[in-house]
Amino acid sequence: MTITAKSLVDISSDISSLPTIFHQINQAVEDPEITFSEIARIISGDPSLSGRLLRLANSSFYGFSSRIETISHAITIIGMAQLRDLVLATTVVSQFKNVPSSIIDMESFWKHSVACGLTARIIAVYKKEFNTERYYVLGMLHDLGRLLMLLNIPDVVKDALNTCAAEKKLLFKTEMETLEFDHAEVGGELLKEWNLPSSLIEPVRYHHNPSAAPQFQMETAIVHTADLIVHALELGNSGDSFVPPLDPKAWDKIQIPSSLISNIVDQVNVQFPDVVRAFSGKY
Amino acid sequence: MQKLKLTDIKEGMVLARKVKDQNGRALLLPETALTGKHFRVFKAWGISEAFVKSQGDGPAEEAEETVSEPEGKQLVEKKLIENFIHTDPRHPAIKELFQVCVKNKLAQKN
Repeated sequence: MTITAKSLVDISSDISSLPTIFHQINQAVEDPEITFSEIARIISGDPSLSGRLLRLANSSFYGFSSRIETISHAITIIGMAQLRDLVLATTVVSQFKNVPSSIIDMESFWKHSVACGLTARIIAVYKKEFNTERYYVLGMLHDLGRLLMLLNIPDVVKDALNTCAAEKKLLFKTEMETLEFDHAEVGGELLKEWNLPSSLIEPVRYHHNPSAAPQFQMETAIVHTADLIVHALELGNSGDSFVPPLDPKAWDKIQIPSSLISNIVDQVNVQFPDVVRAFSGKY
Repeated sequence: MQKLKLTDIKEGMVLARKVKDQNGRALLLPETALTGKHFRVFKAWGISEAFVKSQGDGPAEEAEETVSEPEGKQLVEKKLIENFIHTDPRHPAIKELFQVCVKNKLAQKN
């Protein structure tokens, strides 16, 4: 059977749906009748999730001056839609808890994802984008396709990593040469299977080829740039040993001055250890 | 398991430990049977020695082998040039990012 990006998703039945709690919260947020306290009750039913959300709410990710003690307080300050995005970013990690660290170290993988998410969010804040938490989600999701590859075709990934180290090649290009698809395409297919919106699917699917994004070019360009910055800073590692090339059109799309990179990196350096701590334990 | 200098490592030997560069990135995994292309990896990344399996060894260990070299601005720049090989160094954003990374790396060491 020919392996395709879609077939990798189809054979991964145990992760082809998101945890129930995400759907419960998603439904609740869409319900105009629901109150903050009812949503807080749903989230609080999962102590591990609420603990991580509260740690994040109290970290330099937000930098609030007073301490947030309860989920209801977090909802009133952060917002329901934003909290729903943070729930997605948090619960998705548990879907992949069975990926072994033998080929790519999972702690390092999630550190790369967290760093990409907060870098994307920092850029989005500079751009005055709405709901910047979705950029954090995008960072957490952008390389998920590689985890599906590690679960289903570990030997192919291992060979590709060896080829990249020997020939100093980029992993996503080697994936494409070997399989005719890359982890970004697999990630896009997975998010489709999860029924997530195109505003999340596209930036994941096209993060190495942002100019090809049909509709959400700004989101895709920001994730593309954030991924590049995080690779350059070597914060975590999701498999690639090199900084991926910058798509100049994506950079032009974001329209931020190069001089701002230094400020972005300063903020990443402050937030990164804090946010990693918020996820500490099981990530 | 034995620790061997690169000059003593032969094709067909099997790695007993992960080979990593100074930044902790895995270059070669345990249980890799060494071929010509792996020797190019050793040379390209300045790896001078590695742990290889001896006859009768069990499964490879998780412990890792790293290279230790003195860290100065020149070395930091050299490594970053390596990391940036797939980027266009003439692009203003890449130029700036490179300089920011050099500063960042040096600040982390001090």
